[in-house]
Amino acid sequence: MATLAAQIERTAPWDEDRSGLTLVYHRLMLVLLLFVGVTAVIVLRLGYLQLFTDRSGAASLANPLIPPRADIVDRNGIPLARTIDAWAIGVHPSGIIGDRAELAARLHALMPDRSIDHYRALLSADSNYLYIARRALPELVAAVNAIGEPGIVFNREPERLYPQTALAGHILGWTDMDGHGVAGMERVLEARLTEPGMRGQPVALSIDSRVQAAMESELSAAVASLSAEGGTGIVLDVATGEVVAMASAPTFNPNAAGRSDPSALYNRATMGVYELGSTFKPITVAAALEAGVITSPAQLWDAGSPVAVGRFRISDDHPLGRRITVPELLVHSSNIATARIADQMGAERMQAAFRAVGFDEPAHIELSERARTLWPRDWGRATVLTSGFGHGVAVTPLHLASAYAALVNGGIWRPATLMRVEPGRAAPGRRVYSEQTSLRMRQMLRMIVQYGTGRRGDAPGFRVGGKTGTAEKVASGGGYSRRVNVSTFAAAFPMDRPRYVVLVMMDAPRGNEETHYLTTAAWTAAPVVSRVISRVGPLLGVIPDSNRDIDTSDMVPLVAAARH
Amino acid sequence: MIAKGFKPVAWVAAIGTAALGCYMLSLQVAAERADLATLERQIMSTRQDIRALQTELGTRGRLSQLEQWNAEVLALSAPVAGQFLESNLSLARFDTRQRTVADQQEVRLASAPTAPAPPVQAPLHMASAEAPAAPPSAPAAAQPLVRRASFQTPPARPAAAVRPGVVRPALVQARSAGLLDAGTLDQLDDAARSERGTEDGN
Repeated sequence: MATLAAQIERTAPWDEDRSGLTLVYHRLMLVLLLFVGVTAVIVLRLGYLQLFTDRSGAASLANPLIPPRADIVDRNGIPLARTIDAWAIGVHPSGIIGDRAELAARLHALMPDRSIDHYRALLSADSNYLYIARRALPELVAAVNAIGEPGIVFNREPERLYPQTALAGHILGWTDMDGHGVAGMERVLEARLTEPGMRGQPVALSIDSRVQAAMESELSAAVASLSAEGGTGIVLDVATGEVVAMASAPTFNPNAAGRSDPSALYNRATMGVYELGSTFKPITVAAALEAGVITSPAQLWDAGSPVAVGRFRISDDHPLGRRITVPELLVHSSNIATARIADQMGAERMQAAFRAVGFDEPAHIELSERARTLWPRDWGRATVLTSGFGHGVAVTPLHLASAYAALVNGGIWRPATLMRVEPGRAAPGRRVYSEQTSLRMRQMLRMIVQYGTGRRGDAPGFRVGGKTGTAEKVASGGGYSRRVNVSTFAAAFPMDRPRYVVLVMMDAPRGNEETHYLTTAAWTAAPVVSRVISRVGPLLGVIPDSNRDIDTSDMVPLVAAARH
Repeated sequence: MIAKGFKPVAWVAAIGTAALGCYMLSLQVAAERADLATLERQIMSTRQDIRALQTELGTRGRLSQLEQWNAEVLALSAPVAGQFLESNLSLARFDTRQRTVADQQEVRLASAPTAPAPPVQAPLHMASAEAPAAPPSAPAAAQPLVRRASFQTPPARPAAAVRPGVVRPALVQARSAGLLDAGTLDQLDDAARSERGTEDGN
């Protein structure tokens, strides 16, 4: 204290005052500058934030309207596959607070399709996160949430939904848990559906869901009532090759593909390879017309006595016992006369005729679920003769539908497609038959329905033409079984200007009282075609008209059954 | 003096107010932007809702479900050949009524209104011709002229079909001009009607 006082006294009071004041001023100035600087920095920063940041942009970081996987729609834009936000219930096993055993029991009460042990194992698993249920309904989510366990969490995840459930399941296929297509068009279109730039645009298939629904319901009803093993139905646009409907019974629900019967996943239209029987006869006849083996429809062929080939004898179910014309051959479905035509054609030309319509290759369609055809290795005389009426060569129903499209559309064969074809963009195809042959075939196919085996396939006013085919199925032990048939009716309508091929095949129908326990195509497949055409014709723009028909006047005199 | 002393204060206040105004403005803009962003988010979520609802509607109204309802309740079936009509002619075919004499008369009556026109024509010409001279005498003049016209009708008949187009406007003009009073016109109409009656009768 004393030293301090002494020091003060030593210096002059004025000087001390002045230097002290300047120092205070300097310090004040510094503090002031500091405050100003900090404030300026803050103000500048605020101004920058105000001016140069676009807060509205934050909302459009990820457009939720663009789904993670593009929609699939039918040709009219009706959604067949969509991606929705579904609830997923998960659990963090380490984060569970409550009693695990009690929790498992309560979960089992809510979701009884899994056992209590399953839930107990799930809850005590050594894992960070596990799913309890995916694609849960909001009610279930609310119920599980009401348990109040913090270890159970709820998330929204994109899930593939097929709004039409089982409709066109075989065409659409399904996706796995990670959302990748594993079957059907989901698999074929995987790259297109997930491409970032294209996800907003739905993919249009050639399917018309109304036609598909009609075909599926009629087919399923027939399969059920006839106790058939299965069946398939195809509607094909003859001018473009678009598949308007393709059904296979039994069906499955792609929303829960994993839980369906494995045999239902089998698409008979493209994977099933069958000997389709007499439906091949028009193809043989058309090829013979092209080759000049049949010079005129009036040409007579002997159907009187069976044809012997090695140890086989080719005979007819209803022998006519006389020489018949070509339209009669088809109207009465004579194996003998067809075999004679095939005999004259020879192995080379018969093979060429079937190759022309693609019977030696897998079906031409986008789906990867398609089978190789059974193409005979040895084309001996027996094979040639039997192939003429559809035995020995086994193809898928889709092969036959494409071939019939070529028969009636003026002779152009086109690959079938499941993608919608814009008008005028149809595949060029290849000419298989001449216009003249196609016209003749249209007349004869119509006459089969008017006077022959296809009567039950007619739909009033729709000018249906088609051919029945009842083939004997190869029994499991080998050899053909007479009682087990593959019954097919391949038709086209309207015959005066064909637009659609409709094909229905029943696999091993047993028949019922209505069919008098007959299993032939005329009693099993043909009525289905008739009903389907009556239902879908107006939808497809074909107006039934009983005053209109294809002109068959030059052929009618050639068929004894039609003359009176 | 005092004002001079307060000048810096006033400046500060003015600048402060201006700065505050600017700041308020920018705040306002920011608020509007935030509102806009909220609205955009709302639109987005509404669109998502629409999509979800469309999906739900499509799923609930799926074709297999519709068919089931149809089988249970509606029982609709596909239209058959007879239910489609190609042209007006085929529609007319459904008119199965027998044509009676009355039907035929009706047809003639439809063209009849043009026939009585000629009798009206004569008085009109007369009326318009006389109008400037003696408007009040028009009713008197019209009366006999109608009678005469009815006598002239039979020979003039072939031309009747051509004339009405010319006549009608004249009649309208005459009515609107008020050259003929209402009573005269009624008398004319009566005469025409009686004439029409005799025509139909024979």
